[in-house]
Order: sequence, then structure tokens, then C-alpha cells
Amino acid sequence: MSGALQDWKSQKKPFAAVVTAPVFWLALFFVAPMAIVWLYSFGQNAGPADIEISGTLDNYKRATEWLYVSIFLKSFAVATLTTLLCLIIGFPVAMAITFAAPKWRPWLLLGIMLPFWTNLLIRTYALMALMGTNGYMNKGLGELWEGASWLRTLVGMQPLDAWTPVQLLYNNFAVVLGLVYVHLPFMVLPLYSALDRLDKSLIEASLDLGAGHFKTFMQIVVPLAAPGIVAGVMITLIPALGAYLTPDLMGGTDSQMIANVIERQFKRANDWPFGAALSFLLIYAMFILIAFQSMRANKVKAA
Amino acid sequence: MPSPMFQRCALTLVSAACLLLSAQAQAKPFKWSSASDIPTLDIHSQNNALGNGVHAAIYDSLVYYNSKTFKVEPRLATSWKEVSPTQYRFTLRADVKFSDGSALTADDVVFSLERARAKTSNFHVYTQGFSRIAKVDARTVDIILSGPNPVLLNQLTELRIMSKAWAEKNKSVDPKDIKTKEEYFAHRNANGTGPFMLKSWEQDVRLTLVRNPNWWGKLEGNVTEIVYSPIKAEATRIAALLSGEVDLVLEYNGDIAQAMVEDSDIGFVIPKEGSQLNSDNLCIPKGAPHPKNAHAFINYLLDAEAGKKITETILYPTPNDAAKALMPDAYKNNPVIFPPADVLAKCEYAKFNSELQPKYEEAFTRVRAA
Repeated sequence: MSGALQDWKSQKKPFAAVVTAPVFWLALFFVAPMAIVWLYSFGQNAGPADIEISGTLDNYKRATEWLYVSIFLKSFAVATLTTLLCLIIGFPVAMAITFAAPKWRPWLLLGIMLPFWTNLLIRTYALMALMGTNGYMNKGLGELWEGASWLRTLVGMQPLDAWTPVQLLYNNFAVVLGLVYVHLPFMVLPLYSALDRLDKSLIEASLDLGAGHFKTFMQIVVPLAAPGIVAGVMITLIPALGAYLTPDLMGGTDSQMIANVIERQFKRANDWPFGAALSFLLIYAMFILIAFQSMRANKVKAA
Repeated sequence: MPSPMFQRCALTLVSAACLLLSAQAQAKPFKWSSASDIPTLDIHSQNNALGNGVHAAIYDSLVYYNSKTFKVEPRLATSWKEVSPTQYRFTLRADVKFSDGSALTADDVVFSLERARAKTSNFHVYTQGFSRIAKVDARTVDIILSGPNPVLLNQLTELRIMSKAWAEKNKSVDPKDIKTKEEYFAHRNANGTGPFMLKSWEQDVRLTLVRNPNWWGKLEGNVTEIVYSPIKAEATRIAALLSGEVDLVLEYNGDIAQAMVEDSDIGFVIPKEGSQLNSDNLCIPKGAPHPKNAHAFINYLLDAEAGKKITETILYPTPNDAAKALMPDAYKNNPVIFPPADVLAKCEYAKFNSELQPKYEEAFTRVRAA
């Protein structure tokens, strides 16, 4: 991009100085533990606290049984739905921030990032207090219902039956809502950075040349924002796929995702090798997603 | 992951894993709450959902909705018939007494229905279409309508009956005018024929109803006292309600004993098939650098006074007899903390089975994936 940036190959020493610390960090705290877990996935329990790494593929064989494949597929479906909803909700938000007056923009961005100031667990419990059968949402709906009932008595009609709270929590709906709530900022921020770089005169040109707003949006804004969309989708889809806390706290008995199953292998079932195999299948799936994306990115660059 | 080999040591806390139910056989006051207090005890002064609900516990109406089917059923009126499309004849239940001991008569019904039509009443919506109320004999009343009315019975469910003599004696013939602040007998006191009677009412603080021993009907359930306290602050009320968010949990007895201190409407049940026992252990890992300190700490915990303080907080069955001896009888005789021997005999310690545990979890995963 810029001529001032030098190729790292011609400046090996300074590059090595800069890169050593992060590489060391990654090797020690990421690669090494993951390698241990990877080895476990080829092992079997030899006692309550011992794992014998025997090179067996039994764990993978068991992990590819339909029971676990179906949970993988369900997790993928939930993550995809979450990503899609985040995209649909996040795009207008990112657009609004882009086109807002410059003095408002930092405040709006702050608003997007504000939830990160609080721990995810606290935010999840706050959502649960909101959505419970005795929560604020049901309270509000109950008040409206009573109001409607009272209006009916005013005109001489029979009052409505007593309000029965809606079950908002502990089902798949709650899981998707919780995941969308948690991941929305991850979608909005890359979208915003893509839209911010977009040359606005192109939009004006498109409108001047007779294209409608919708056509301009679909043919100018969306293609130009594509890198941001792809980045947002990846950055939302991957954590959503491995979501653990939200389905655990907000989900019902049928809302388990693959991360919950993995957790049980490491804790209650005390079957670390199997848990490791499941974890690595999840990691491989994410690898494939990222590989697809970079292949696509390379193709775009080459074209 | 590699867990050190544990050397088992002293102190064992036995606890049974179990179920908690909200229903309970023992009679205790039923306590409830919402945002505001009832506006008045005067049954014709304010048409307010909360107030009407409370009034219905103290005062009977001629007919009322069955709470399960929501169909209109006899209450003070045992039967009724359509004399003509604009005249309905109601037969009153015999031997009904107000809580002050006086008997219900047709005069009281005529008086109460007319009272609901008074200028200061807020129940006109329920007396719409009434032309006249007439006493036929001591146990028969006619309602004469200005036109055919298909919802007459529904209207009557909200028109409660008060004693005429009581109202006249206490200068409460007309409903309390809600626009005035003056004291009014029927606003602060009640005398109905209903299943409950007023024990006390401190406005905005507490309303207590007790069972009416002379009620003509048979009350379902075991509630003998109802205590209503309005909680204005949303957050406080939500916190109080949140504890009712779930009805059933799987918990150890000590945790439930702690919860029962705060909420008397919680029970503890051990499945009749038995349950699992668990002990907390104090262990010193092999090769621990300061075993002496560990022993000193264990000795301290086994001290009777220290054990008593721990037990007072955790409410688990203490294995420390000296500490138990210091505890009050309420603890020692608590069946939640110390389940009867025949129940405990069915419980057993769980043993970790490395073969079965993954299979058990797989079955659990299968159920949850279904």
C-alpha cells in the first residue's frame, strides 16, 4: 500500500525482535496446550486420573455418530441463524453510525461497545431477570393486558382472563436472542469500518444516474461493504458456534449446543479423550470455514 | 488434570441430595405481594381488580366464577330462574351468617344491590340494565331489568353482599365517596359471609385475613391465614419474586435448610426410592509441605464452639457430636437436616464408575438432543 513499508525479508533482525515475544506467547499458551488436547483425543482413560495415549481413533469414531453429528448440525444452525439476525439488525445500525454527524459518531460507537464494559455472565443474568416469567418483560405485557381488560369492562364487555406469563426463558428462542444480543457488536464494528471507508460519492453517483435507493443499496453499498460483511459473519459465526454460557444459562433442556456436550465430557463424564476429540472436530470445522473465506479472498484479489 | 492421590482424613459431612417442593402439608400463612395496596375495603366504592379480589375473599356474591372452569356457579344464590325476560328470581342459600354472627336475609341482598347503584358507587358498570330489586320473601329476591340481559349472571359475580343492619349501624349505608378523605367505617372494616374475614389492615403495610370458621362452604387447600403486603419498590419485589422463578430444584439438604430460613414456603423431599449421600472431606495431599498447619486447622474445625458456628451458617448435619450438642433443638430435630433413619437407610454413597459415567452422560446427551 505504502512505499514506506518495507518488506520484512530485507529487515530480518528488527522483524525478529518484534515477532519473538508474540510467537513465544502463542507457542507457550496456545499451541502447546492445544497440542496436549490434540494428543488426548487419540487416547483412552486408564484410570480416574490417567489418560493413556494409544493412538486409537475410537474417540473420533464415536464423535461422528449421528447423535453428536446432529448436535453439531444444530449448533451450526443456531449459529447461522444468530449470524443472520446480527447481519440484518447490524447493517442498518452500522449505516446509521456511518451517516451520523461526525460529532455523534464516537458516542454511537461507544454505545455499541458499552456492553463490553460488563462481564458476559452479568449481562446474561441481566437478560434472564428481564425475560423470566416474573421478569420485567412479562410484567410490562401483564400491565398492557390488564389495561385492555379494564377498557373492556368500561364498554360493558367481560374482562379478559387473568394474564398468564409467557415462557420467554429456557428455550431455543432465548438462546438465539441471547446469542444475538452478545454478538451484535462483533457484527456492527467490522460493518462500520467497511462502510466508513466507502466512497460516498459513489452512492450519490448511483442515485444521480437514476438507480433507486434499494438498487443503490444492493448494487453499490453491499458489494463495496462485502469485506466487512464477510469479516462480521466470520467473527460472529465462529464464537456463536462454540457458545457455551448462553445455551447453558438461558436454554431449556433441549437447547444444548456442542460446547455444552464438550463441557460435560471434561467434567461429569470424566472422559477427556472423547471431549478432546469433539473439541478438535469443532476446531476443524472452524478451520474449514476460515479456509473457505481466505480462498475466496485470494480469488477476489487475483481477479 | 492429574489429580493428586488424596489421603482421606477426619471430618465427614453427610448430606442427602434431594428434591425441593413448594407445596407443603403444614399450615402456614400464605404471603403475597404486589405493587400497591387495595384502595378500600368498601365493596362498592372502587372497582379495582386487586381490591375486588380481596373483597371476594371476605364478601360473597350471589354467583361467582369457578376458578378452574370460569363458569358461573351458585354462591349465595343456590338457584335462579327467568320469570320473564326482564325478571330473574334468585333463591338464597339457607343458614348463611355474616362474620359478626347475624344471618343473611333477602333484605341484605336488596340493600347491597341498591348500594351498588348508589351515586357514590363505582360499580354501575355491573348494575347496568337493572331497573329494580325486589324482595319476594325472606329467601327470595327478584331482579327486574329494563330489558333482556344475557350477561346478568356475569355482572352479579362482581356485586358482593353486605349486611344491611351492620351498614346502618355504622353509618355506611352509601359507598364511601372516594373523592373525600373522611374516615368511613366500611372503608376500614369488613363484615362479609365469605371464606375469610378481616383480621387487620394497616394501609400500605399489611392486610391480614383469617379463615372464617362459620363459612357455609368448604374451602379447598390448607390456607388458614392470608397476609398481603404491598411492596412498592420494583427491584425489591422482583427480588422477592425471583425466588419463585422455579418450583423444583435438585439440591442438598443443607442448602435447602438455609433457603427455608428465608422462605417458609419451601419444602424438602427425599424420593421414596432413596437418594445419594455426599460428604465433604478435609484431605491433606501426599507430600503437602505443611501437614502440621493442616492438622492444626482441622483441630480448630473440630472444636465444639467453632463447629457450632460453622453449623449455624451452613445448616448441614454436623458429624461433630460436641458441636451438635451445643445446637438448639430446632436444628437437632429438623427432619430436613437430619432425615429419619428409615429414609437414610435407602440412600447410598455414589461410587465413580469410569466405565458407566461416560455412558450415563451419553444417555443424558441423547435425551437432551431428542
